[in-house]
Amino acid sequence: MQACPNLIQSVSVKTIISFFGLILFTFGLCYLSFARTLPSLSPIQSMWSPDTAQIPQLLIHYSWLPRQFVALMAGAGLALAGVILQQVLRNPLAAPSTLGFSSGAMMALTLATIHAPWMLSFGREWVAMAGALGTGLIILALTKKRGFSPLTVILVGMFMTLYCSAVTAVLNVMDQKELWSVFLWGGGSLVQHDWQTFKQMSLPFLLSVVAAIVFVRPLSLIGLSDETAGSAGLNVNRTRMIAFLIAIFVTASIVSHVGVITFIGLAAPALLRIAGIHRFGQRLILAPIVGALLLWFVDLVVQNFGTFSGYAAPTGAVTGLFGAPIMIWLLLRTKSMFQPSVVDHGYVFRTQKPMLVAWVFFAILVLLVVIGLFLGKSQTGWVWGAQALEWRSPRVIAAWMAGALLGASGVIMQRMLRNPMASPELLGVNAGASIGMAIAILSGLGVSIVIQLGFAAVGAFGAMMFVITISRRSNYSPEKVILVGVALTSFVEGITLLMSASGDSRTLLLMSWLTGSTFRIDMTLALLSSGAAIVLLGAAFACTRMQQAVELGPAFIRNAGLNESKARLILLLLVAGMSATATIVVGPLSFVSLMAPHIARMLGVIRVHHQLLVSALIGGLLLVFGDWAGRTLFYPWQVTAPLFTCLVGGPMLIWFLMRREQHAR
Amino acid sequence: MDTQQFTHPIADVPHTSFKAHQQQDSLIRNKSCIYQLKQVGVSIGEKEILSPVNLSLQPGRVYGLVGHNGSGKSTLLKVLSRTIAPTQGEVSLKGQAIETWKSRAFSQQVAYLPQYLPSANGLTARELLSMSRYAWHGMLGRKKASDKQAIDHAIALTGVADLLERQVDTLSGGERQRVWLTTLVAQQSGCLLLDEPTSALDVGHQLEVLQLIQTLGHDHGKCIVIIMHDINMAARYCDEIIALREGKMLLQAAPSEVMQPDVLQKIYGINMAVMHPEDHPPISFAKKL
Repeated sequence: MQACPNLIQSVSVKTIISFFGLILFTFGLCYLSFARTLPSLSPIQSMWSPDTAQIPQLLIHYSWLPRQFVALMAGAGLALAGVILQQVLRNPLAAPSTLGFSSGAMMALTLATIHAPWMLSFGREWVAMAGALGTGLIILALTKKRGFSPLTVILVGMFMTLYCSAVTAVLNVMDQKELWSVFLWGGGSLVQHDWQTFKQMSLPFLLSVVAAIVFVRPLSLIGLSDETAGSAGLNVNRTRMIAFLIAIFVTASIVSHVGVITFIGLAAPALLRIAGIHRFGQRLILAPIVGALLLWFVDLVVQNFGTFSGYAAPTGAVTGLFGAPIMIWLLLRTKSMFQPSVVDHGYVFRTQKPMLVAWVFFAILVLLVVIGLFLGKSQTGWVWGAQALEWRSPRVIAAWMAGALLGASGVIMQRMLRNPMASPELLGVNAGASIGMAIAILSGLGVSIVIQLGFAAVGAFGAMMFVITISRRSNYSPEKVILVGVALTSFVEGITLLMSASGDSRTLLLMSWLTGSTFRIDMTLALLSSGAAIVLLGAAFACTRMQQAVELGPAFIRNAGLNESKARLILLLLVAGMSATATIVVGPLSFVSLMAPHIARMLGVIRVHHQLLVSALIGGLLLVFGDWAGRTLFYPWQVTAPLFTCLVGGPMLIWFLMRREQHAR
Repeated sequence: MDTQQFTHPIADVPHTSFKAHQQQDSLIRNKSCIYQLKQVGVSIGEKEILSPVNLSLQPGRVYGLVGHNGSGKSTLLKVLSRTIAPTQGEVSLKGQAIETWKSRAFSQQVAYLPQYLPSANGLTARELLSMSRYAWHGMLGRKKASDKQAIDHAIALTGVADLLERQVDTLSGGERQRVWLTTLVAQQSGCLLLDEPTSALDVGHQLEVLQLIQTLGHDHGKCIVIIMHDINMAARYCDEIIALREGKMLLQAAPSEVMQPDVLQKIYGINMAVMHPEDHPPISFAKKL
């Protein structure tokens, strides 16, 4: 179509000039870090044939130079994996970090450190590699029956991410000290001591690039739709499998060597889409270049300025910190944006009795609330009774309400953005709340829980306004909201990671809140949150018709007599309110809001009001159960409720996924 | 390039040459027109997609929007439905500037069927239809008996009763089109803007749907704008043909005026001939290139 703006039209000259300015700045930084390592102007040969007597020359050759190359290659590889995954899954949120490969590596390393330290003697990278590859292959094995269909892979991949992170977090809670090194590794450090890493990384990287180039035509076709690709003579399932294998392979080789770097895989392809590059072939070539430059830039900033109180920040942790502003700046500069094709649903399994499903879940929920209130554990064993009601009831109420809010807000978000990977955290609410909380704790101002939560609320509100302001220009179009959310979330992730990696003892407090906690809730807070929850859930049910109209797209919104941007804004504000309330009560967690809507859908609960109801019930029961199990099963440790929720809810989801398979075919 | 050559003679097409049309014309002037477009144009960047158009649309009439691919038909329809705002000129609906209408009031007046139908994400046809009355009952308003009646009536008119319990996305292309059309009929707006509503229909259903559209126009007094590729069908069922070529409006005329070889040739840019069978409206066809 002629109407599609090409690169030159959609990006102004000013933007291009600024972009080149940024590249120049990067080279400046590069020179600066070079000069810092090598003070005097030594002969340039020291880069490849250093004088072994001079330490600076050795540093340049064995540390500085490989670091630059590893940064470039890691950025390129992650971007390559990202662009392939986004193409195959037709989803702008797909990336190595959101589909579980990175978290798999992290979990494997954590497990090995605690339970089988001997494995580490083979080299940390092999353990991490096994974790990443293993996770990827499990995803493929679980989705094979459904022909690796995008939605299924996305669901299983997201589940893997959350699940592995939860396992890692649980292990962390029990074994804090030993895991400090793993935690640092998780931050993604590019520090090099020799050329070993570069050599080990380059073969897999080159193989992946070659494979991607060989498969560029099938991969371009598969971005359209399964039918089109199939009729063009493509074996759709096999192409998808090959694409996943390339992505898994390249990610595993990078993650195992440099640790978890999250932002690049998502951002590099996104930047190209923002710049208006439609053709997959071009994106496939350009994404690795953009990714390489982006990571290199971030790493150079870290090399030059990244030492905080004697401690060098891991690059991966701050990628979002420096990468996100670039993305937001570009987003502000584009008006029209290319939309990836929306998932076409076709036949959807539906239950005849959605209300029966709701009643069943309600019964389970009531049962769990009773158990949560009366069944506890002490040194002597299980105890049944009302003696601890005073302490338990606020927690149970708060968990219930927060779960219901998360479940319902996930439904609204996924429908509005027409993206099964969307969750309320994209509105930046969680991120903002975390920042607020971090400031409260680290500045010493947050002396009481009320003040801390106040800070969190202010942060949540600020972040939400930020996302809404930026996406207003494009009438809150799904694509833009998603990208702004991704950028902001990565930015804040960077800040919190940095804070927690700094080793400050107060960060333990922050960490406990970040992983979600119902420990410190009193009755006042519980009642306040229930009040807010009831109002917000009421509002959500009141505007089910609006949600349905918004999901059906612009023409339908108009036919329904709604103002498109106003309707979207109302829903965004509603989700933000729900998410903020839940975040303030139990901390930032995305599992429930991501998964509860899918569980409801898999049970055949399709219509908006039914899905809202069932998803809210599932969310509630997951958190109530998580809270109870977290404080009893691992007694005397307390595992936070959300973590446990994930450990329990995840397998439930997979089971439903497999079960639906039998129904559908 | 050769647009210049075409626009000129078209301006000379005498609007008053047909008596019947003249009579109708004076009749209409007394009625209030629904849409009034003054110098309405759309351009993206430098490129002009729709050159300034003057147009007035009356209630009770069916307008066929014809033209080659990319001639600006859909753009014009999107302007009318407020999907895109014109970059110049003004559109008024019932004498009031189109952008000043409140959303709900506007959709009580205008319903729009886009060319590409969205996925209904698991909804059955009946559920989809139940949402067609949003413009009337709003977010919280109770669904009244009149809402149910409107839907039942629309179902009876389009004959989709058999499809109601099926999921919309599993229907055949033609069935889907009819279900979506039913939602528009149930919306009971005074104006229907239809972007190729018959593209996926077999001949039998095309006739049925077009007959229905004609009934809605003539008996229910609706103003209907319909994009069509089949010029013969358009000539048979529309009261007026609006022809676009390369973003410019060529003419607005009665079908009998349009069904002339030279006029058709100007619209489509290929050699066309017209047959006049007995007991049947004229039929046009393309000659060899």
